[in-house]
Amino acid sequence: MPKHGFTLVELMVALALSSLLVLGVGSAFISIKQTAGQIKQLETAQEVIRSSQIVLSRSLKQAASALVVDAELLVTHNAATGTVTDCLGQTQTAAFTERFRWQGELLQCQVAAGDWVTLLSGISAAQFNVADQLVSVRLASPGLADNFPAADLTGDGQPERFIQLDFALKSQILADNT
Amino acid sequence: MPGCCNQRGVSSVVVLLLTFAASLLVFTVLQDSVVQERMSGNFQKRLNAEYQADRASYDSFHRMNDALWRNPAATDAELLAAASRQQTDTGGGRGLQALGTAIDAANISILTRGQRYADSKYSNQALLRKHLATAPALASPFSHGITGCDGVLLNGSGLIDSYDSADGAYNRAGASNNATVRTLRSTADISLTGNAPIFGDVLSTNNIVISGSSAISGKVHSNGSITLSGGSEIGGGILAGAAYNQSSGKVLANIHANGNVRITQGIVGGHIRTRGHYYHEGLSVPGEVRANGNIEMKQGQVAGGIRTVGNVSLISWSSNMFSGGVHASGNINLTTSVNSPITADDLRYGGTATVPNVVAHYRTAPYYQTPAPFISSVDVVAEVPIENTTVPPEDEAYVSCDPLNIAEHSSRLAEQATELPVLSLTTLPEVYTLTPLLGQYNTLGSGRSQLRLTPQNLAFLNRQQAVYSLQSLTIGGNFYISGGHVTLFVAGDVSLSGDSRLTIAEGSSLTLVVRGKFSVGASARVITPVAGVGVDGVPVFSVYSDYSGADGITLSGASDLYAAIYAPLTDVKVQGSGQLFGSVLAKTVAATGAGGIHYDEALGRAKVGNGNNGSSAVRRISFIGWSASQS
Repeated sequence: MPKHGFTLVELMVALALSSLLVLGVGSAFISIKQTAGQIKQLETAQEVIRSSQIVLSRSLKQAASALVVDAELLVTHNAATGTVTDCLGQTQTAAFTERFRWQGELLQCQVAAGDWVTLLSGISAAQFNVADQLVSVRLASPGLADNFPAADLTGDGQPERFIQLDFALKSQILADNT
Repeated sequence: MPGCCNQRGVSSVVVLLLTFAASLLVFTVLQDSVVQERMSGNFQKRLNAEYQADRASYDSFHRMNDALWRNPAATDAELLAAASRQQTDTGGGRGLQALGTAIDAANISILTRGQRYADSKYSNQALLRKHLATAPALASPFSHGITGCDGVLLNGSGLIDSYDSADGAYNRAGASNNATVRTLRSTADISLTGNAPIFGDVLSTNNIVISGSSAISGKVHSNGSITLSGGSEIGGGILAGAAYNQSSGKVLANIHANGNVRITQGIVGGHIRTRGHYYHEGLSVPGEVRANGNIEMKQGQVAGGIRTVGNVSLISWSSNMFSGGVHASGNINLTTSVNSPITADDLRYGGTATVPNVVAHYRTAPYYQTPAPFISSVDVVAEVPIENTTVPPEDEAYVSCDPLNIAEHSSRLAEQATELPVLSLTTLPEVYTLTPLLGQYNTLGSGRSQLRLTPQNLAFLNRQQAVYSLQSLTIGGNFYISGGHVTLFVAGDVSLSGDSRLTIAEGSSLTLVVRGKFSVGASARVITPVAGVGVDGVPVFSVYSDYSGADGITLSGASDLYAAIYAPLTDVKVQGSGQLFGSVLAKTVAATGAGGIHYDEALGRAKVGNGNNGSSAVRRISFIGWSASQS
């Protein structure tokens, strides 16, 4: 009884076909995994923007003045405005200052002369700028796509993609103009 | 070959496994993305809620100021009632709520809540401060009716009166008598040669000549002389800083003069007091005649007595013509044919008597008295306030022809303006619309090109505002102002010519700052809302001119016009047949047309600019800050 088996050619064809299949699906899998990673980064970036918007807008809306000192954002609150919620969520009744800074991936906040408390992580660079009664904050996060503007925020010669959040000093503007 | 068969389909299994892992990954990522999308949606709703809460605060702020503007004596309870508000759904799930609370005598807190759908809420606490009467703000320069610093000439025939546009449109029956016509500089005369009735006072820092037949409901008050030679009827009396001459007309109340009083004809309804001499011919005085100088009467009669520090000279051919007594510190000179020209023989004098024999008894005591009868002297007539002088505190403490110092503000605008295009609308149907955000042609004539304007944020009268700047503005078509308050700066001339229209929509207002001439042609029309003072107390149409040549503002329209005009350096000519509503402050005012001038009292409460120079009796609410914002 002649043994029926696969000829070499058949084997080669089967091998080629199956490796093609495995390779194809494998590369698809890899690209899906990459996309998933990018999505995760983008989610982190969104999260960073949302959270920093909430924290900074609350602080700057109530602020009597804001200025940038040593790359830190110094926000002053008046006692005259009654109770004010600080960046740590505590209620302040007297005048106080808040500082915001970017320190290696972290956005940190300090109330008066207290400890630096980390508010957010996942920020690759941050830059504060105060022009007149407008505070602009540029936040860079690794997940931002190519269509975002880029500038060198860290000073290392490499541009970072960033999102710019603009806050009007509403209390100051309204107090000046009414 | 069992080995071979055990391995059958390995690659398929591997592929299946990979596909399974990949789909798991994809589903997780998909789920994450859906979660992110929802979070972003919630974030957007939260922002919406925050903006709703902010809006509620601004609304409350505006409504409280509005309440104060309408009623400067508004109580805390009224203010808080004006501040509080609830709107459950304004579409798209948006809602807002404001609740005012008084913290102490000066501060008000407003708790506002905004929401976008039931699950997104945000609350703000806005802190506001009440400023009492001493608050720093510019006083309205429109509170004086019709002011011509260097002179006023009225020879038209339209009546001049006042009304309050806050109570509705002008109607003659409801108009009041507060249209003051005044001058402010010491050489400025007022000349009334027409027959325009004035329902208010006429105040001049120099002479007043009333040669027309204008009736004046209020007082006529001058620092110089007053001459009444037409058929005018004056309801509020005469106060003259120098001489008073009357050769016609009626004065229904008292006459008080620092100089001589001479009345040759006409009617007087009250007392006559002068620090100089007094002379009349055939006048019947129902009150007293009192003089520091001599009194001379050619006939006539006096019911309230004659008192003088000087001499008295009387001519009378009938009995009892002089009642209330004739008392003079000096001589008496009486020409009469009857024996009792003086009622009850009440004559007292301290000098010599020159009397006919029918009243020979007057030559001795008790008529002659020594020491001479004491006659108190006549008070000095109060001064009409002159520019930059201080007068007694119960009056306006300080008047200025140019309280705003307009040239400084206008030139600052000129420096700041970056671009000065020329806007020239040809005849209808060209339509140009200016809103607080954008100016553009809505309809263009053929062959004409679009001109878009965007405002700059500039300071005018110490208030930062969106300002449009133009080199010149010629309106031949239809010019619309809509959408809110618009400030327009024009470095050159502004003219409305032909069948043109300047329409200010309801709820909008226009502040025109012009450095050249402003003229409204005969068939041009300016259409404004009924209420002369719009949102936030800004006049619906105000014109500020720092033009210093002659005839800077000429209004010759045949249709009615509402305008608050501030032009302290130039002349304003009102020569049309249309009515002018509003207020005029100018170097000189000449009203020569048939149309009347109706002063809008609401302008006296108008808000002009914002700042620290000048003082005001306007109470207002200002913003201190936000606190305790939370989502």
